[in-house]
Amino acid sequence: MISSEAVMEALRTVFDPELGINVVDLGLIYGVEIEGDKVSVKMTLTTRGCPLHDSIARGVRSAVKALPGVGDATVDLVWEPAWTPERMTESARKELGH
Amino acid sequence: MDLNTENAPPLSLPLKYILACLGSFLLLTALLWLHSGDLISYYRNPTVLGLTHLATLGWITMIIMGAAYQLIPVVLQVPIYSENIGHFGFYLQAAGSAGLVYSFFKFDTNSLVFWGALLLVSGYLFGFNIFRTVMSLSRLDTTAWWITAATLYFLLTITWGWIAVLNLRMGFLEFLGQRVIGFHALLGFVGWFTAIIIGVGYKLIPMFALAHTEGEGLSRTIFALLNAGIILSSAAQLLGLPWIFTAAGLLVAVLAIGLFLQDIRHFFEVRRRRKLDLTMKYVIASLVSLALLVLAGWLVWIGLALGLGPIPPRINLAIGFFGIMGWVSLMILGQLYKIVPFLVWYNRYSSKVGLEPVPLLKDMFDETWGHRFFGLFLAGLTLSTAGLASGASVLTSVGLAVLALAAWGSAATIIDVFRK
Repeated sequence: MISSEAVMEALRTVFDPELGINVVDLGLIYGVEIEGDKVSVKMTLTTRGCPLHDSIARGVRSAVKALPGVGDATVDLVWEPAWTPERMTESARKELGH
Repeated sequence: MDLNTENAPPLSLPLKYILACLGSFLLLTALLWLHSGDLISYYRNPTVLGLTHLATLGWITMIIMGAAYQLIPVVLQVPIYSENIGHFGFYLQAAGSAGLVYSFFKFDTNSLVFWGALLLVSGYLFGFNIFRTVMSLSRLDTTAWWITAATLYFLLTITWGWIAVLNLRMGFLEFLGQRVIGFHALLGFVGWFTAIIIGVGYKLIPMFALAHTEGEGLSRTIFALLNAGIILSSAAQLLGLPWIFTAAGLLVAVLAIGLFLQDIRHFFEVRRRRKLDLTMKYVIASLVSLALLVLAGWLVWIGLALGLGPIPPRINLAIGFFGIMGWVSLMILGQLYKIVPFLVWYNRYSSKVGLEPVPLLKDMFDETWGHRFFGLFLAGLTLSTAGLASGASVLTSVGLAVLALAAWGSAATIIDVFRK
């Protein structure tokens, strides 16, 4: 049985290579849905037109798909609601110098 | 899933432009030092013309073209119209730039006309490629407008540059020759370099700094003002209107630049990424150089308005040198510290994200050495500009040696990324 906690833990290994912060702490993950062995991740990115978009989104899919028991993983990349810096965790803010 | 870099061209396209631009930069800084005596003696000599075109074509235009092929598909989310034109255009651009620079050093007017014509073909191919790419967009955003306008100025710059070298050979313009050169220089520096940096800077600086603000700031107003300023001042130059018209045009352009600097200052104030990385330090140094350049330009115009006589050639030279090596080169070097690590990282590690630990972009180069060479570059720039402005040959030579050392060190740090 796949748990959303296990998925979030796996997503903490996916970093924005420019900022050096994982996608969970950056506040990019909007939700995780699990149906049987299928996992769907709803996420956003910090900016439209960022050259690292596909690397991060593909990385999220790969990390989830590598989890035991996951048959298929999809990423739903959305722009609404838009990402804001307020979505970052305290540790991410510290990492950025706040 | 919205995959932006699906539109990006293969690494080989931007890479050849980047390597050629770095090679030109190494040659430029070494030749500047070797010819420092020529810079002091008289600034409109063949050596200075050769060095200026090595900087503007081999170093600056080459990197703008390479970065355009890399960034336009990503930023505007549309594939480049023709990658083949990009590859073919590179060889024309490289051969044309090398031939033209060599011809300036030798001051061979026949060769200048030939290599200039080759550059004209290369430039128009680039322009065609960019315009067709932008035209495939359903809606032109402000960044697309900036890129389009800057490319138009580029085409005008090279066209009038070629007319100027044709005039050197045939002398058909008579007294108009000087005006054409002024027009060519103004369009190139303000229209091509400055417009493209401001336009793309509006997209990249907030993105790298994590400065999320409502709307596009004053980008549209600045676009309108800068273009009005460029058109007025360059037309005044070409038509030989009284200097007050050029000054009025430049005043409007200065207003646009002032608003741009104000907007960027706002981005820096609200940025969430408080720690400044090496690129951001270069960007700030470049923007400070732009502000100093505008100030110096206005002091010169005030001097003219007060009838204090013509500007000493060495001041003209120092301002031009500072514009190229300060405002433009600092911006390019800073962006190279982003572009090259990204290209290498993307090709080596992008497919491994989420599967195994991969390096961060900042791990792709030695940041400590990058910072050292940045400091050295600023020192060299300050010393050499002061030396040129004061006509002090030893100071100029020492400054240019420091600048060359910093440039070679920075290039080595950037090239080392390929070993990661």
